[in-house]
Amino acid sequence: MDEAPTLLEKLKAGDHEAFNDVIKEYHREIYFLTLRMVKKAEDAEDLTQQTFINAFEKIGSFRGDSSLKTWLYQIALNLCRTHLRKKRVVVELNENILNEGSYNDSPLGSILKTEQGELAKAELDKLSEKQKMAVILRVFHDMEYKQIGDIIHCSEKTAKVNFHYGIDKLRKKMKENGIM
Amino acid sequence: MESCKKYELNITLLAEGSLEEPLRSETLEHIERCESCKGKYEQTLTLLGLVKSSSLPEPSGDFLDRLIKNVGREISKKDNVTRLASVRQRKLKAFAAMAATFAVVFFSVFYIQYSSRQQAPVAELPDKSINYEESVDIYFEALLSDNFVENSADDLSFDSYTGDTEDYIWIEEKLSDLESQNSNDLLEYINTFSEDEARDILEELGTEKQTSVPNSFS
Repeated sequence: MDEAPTLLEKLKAGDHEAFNDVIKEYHREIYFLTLRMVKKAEDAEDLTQQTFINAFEKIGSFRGDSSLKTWLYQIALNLCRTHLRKKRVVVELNENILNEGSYNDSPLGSILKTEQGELAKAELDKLSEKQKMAVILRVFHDMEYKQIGDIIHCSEKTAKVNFHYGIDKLRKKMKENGIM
Repeated sequence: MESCKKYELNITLLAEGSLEEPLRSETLEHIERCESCKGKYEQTLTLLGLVKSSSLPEPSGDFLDRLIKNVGREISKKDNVTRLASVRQRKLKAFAAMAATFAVVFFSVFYIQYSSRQQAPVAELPDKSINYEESVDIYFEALLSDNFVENSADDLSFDSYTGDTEDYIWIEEKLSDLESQNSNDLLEYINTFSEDEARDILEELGTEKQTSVPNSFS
């Protein structure tokens, strides 16, 4: 009896419905990943779109050694790096992010927490590329260190070390700013 | 006194929840005994809470619809271009095959007649070198083709780069990434870059190391 084709087989066969399923499944994750890297919602939407276009164009060469999700993250982060490098984007706190974010309820406590959180986020942007990516992938995307290593092209151990140094730098900065 | 240095990484991993036994118990025991490390552990917990609390704006309401539409359109557009190119390529190949056959027959007849009259002079070897742009193009296509099997990441070393552009560090990092891949992973890896980026890398390589173009392509 013939087995039903897997998602990857459908994608490789050019099945547009399968493409759409992948977009539906991963578009939010890729959007938030790119937004954390490039800071501008408009750019993040463009990069998300380009991620899927690149992925579908090159799906023929994807062997499936890593998961589809890991591969999409690799493509998205490579696009982000190219974008940041070419545009020489100055990574600053985006006013829109400060103003439009949906925050927790309680007034004063949540405002303080929000401001501290934004400071932490601003400091996050100052980390080295690999440390920043390790922190973002672990904290916001719940990725295993093995997957993080696959995405940023290093070993699982190095991914842990990058995460640790990133977090340690942030902790020291927050301490200097009297937050902790 | 017990060294705190060896617990630094473990304290971070403990705070974010990925430290496994027996290191977890060992680190917890150390924290109980060491005020300084306990402080770091608590600060890291607070920090992770703060970082997680920073939220991002949702994508615009019609983002998914636009995304599906735009991606579908781009893919279809490129499918059509590929199909056209493939038809043109097939026609071109057929024409080239006919022309080659005709040329072989013509020159064979000509050669036989000519050599029967006098001894042929020693033919000058054609210049087989190809220019740099061709090398890069051919190399890039080779990387993307399914036939690419034998070139190793060693060919992509960048140690002879002497330029002073600000891109040096970026390129070096990319090359280090490339070198860390084995040849079987290279094709998949390079396909995670945009074409422009891959070309940037290969062009920079080609500038300094034209010899890295596989011999079979030159």
